[in-house]
Amino acid sequence: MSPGPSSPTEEIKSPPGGRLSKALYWLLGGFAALLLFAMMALTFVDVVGRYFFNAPVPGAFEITELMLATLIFAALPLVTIYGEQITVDLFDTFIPNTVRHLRDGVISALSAAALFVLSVSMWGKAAESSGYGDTTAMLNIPIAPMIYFMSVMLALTGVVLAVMAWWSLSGHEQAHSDKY
Amino acid sequence: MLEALFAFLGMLGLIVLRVPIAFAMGLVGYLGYGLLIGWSPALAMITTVTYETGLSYGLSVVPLFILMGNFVSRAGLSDELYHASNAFLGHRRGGLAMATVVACGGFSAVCGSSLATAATMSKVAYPPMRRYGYSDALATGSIAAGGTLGILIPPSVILVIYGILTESDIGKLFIAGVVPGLLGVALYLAAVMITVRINPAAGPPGERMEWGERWRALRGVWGVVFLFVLVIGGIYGGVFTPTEAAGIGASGSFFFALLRRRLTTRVVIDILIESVRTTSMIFFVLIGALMFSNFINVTALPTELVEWVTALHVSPLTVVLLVVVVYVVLGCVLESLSMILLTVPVFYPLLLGLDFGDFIDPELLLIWFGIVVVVVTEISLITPPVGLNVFVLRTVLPEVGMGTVFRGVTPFWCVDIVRLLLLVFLPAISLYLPSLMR
Repeated sequence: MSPGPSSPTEEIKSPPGGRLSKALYWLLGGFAALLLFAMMALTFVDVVGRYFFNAPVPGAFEITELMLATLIFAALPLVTIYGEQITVDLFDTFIPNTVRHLRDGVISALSAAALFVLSVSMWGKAAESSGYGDTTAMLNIPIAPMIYFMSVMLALTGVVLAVMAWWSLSGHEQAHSDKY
Repeated sequence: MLEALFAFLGMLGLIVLRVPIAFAMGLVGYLGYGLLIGWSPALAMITTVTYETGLSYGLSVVPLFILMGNFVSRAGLSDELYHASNAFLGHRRGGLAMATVVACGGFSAVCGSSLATAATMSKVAYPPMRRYGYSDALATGSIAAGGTLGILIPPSVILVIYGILTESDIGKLFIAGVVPGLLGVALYLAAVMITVRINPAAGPPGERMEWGERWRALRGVWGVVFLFVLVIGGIYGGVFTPTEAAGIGASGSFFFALLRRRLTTRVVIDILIESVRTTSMIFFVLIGALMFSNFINVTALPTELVEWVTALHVSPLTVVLLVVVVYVVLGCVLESLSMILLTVPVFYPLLLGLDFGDFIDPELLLIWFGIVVVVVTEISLITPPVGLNVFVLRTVLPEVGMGTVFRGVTPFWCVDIVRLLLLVFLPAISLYLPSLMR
């Protein structure tokens, strides 16, 4: 059983893995972190504005929604790279190593395929939304770019999983540790 | 109904094969929906669920409360909480373990996650207990059990998820958790007393502190009290919506950590990235679960379950007790968040279909059930073999054996069962406070 959410620890952690996964960590993680901080600040300003100055931030609701969707999709490749998807490994100790790698490889490959399907379908939805010219109700922010972003992140996560599948199946050394 | 049962079995099979839970639920949901309704609607369904869950304003409380908990952990408020409860309780037999329980309760009031509560408190509370010669079992047991309070005493990420699944008022759910949480603290204190009564060597008394020192220690916890009153008081008084309260709580704990000079830019970035990763993980499990429950809804399992149970002519409370038993069993093998996501969509329509008569206010039925579900989940966090809090303790304190922690947790587990029964039979414990809210 892997305890899903990593527990907050005192020491500063440097991201594990190779250069590419480090770059992804800082790029996507940094972007998502910025969004979360902005979301917190926005709520704060909105509430203070509303109760003390009778001037809430117009459209704060919409911006929060868009930021939330963007940040969870931006973080998806990271969660996948670091193997933080919740799994139950009750019987892992009873399974020989080779079988385990085969199994992990197959699971990653299937998950990758599923994410590609979802990504393509999401791309279609984005194109549709772009065609209608969908915007948010108050601030008229176009929605399509965010759906395209979701689609791209799903595909990127698919690529991450495909690489992980390849590593597991070909017995790549990094597949033997828990962290990629 | 048969297809739904096959789906459940298939999904459990996938989970046992170590398929990520989000993927297992999503895949079974997609396949089932495809077989029953058609493949193109099934693809449209999973796409829409993925897209809409991300865009849900109500769910923005999740990252904000996670962020608040992580800032609070880093601000070092846990030290003051432990110091203060220790000043009042430490001189008793088993006093340090009691102080741990109380401090965990206090920490839960500003943190929405059980794992974070257990991880944070283990660093603060374990060293002194070890110094005073506490048995490892009592020391780790009190931390693992105390940590479970994190998801009951508001704010609570699990209650938010439950609220979204059942379309219940998250503010009322939070307020309903307060008294059961305090009851939990009281019963855990009793568990410590019983443990040291049986085995006095497990928890020798610490030093007695003067009253002056006690009051000084108490002043150290004003930060926690302030944040709790601001966030939960704000929700209770109707000043804030849960999302606003979460934003204010996160900002407040950020300023706290800043004032106490616990933050560098690097630490802030780390906390933010950590919170974002936890959020993303939770969301994708939620998305998978919603795909699965969309499929369950088209199988008519919920309605058939209601008909089946009604035909049995058993009292509604018996049904609730059976549901609780199902949860306790599932809790042995499933992780807590997935357990809630999988079962609540099936059980809550069943509950709404039962006639409770005067036993409970129908409007608050789902609030009460939410508290019961969360308490069962707390129990699953310390039940072998998959008790997550026990695993968290193992990672923080690798020198203590798993068996020792589970042995230490046993008395707390027993009083948890007592609390669960009290909450089932006396709904007023949960519902008195929310019934006053308008």
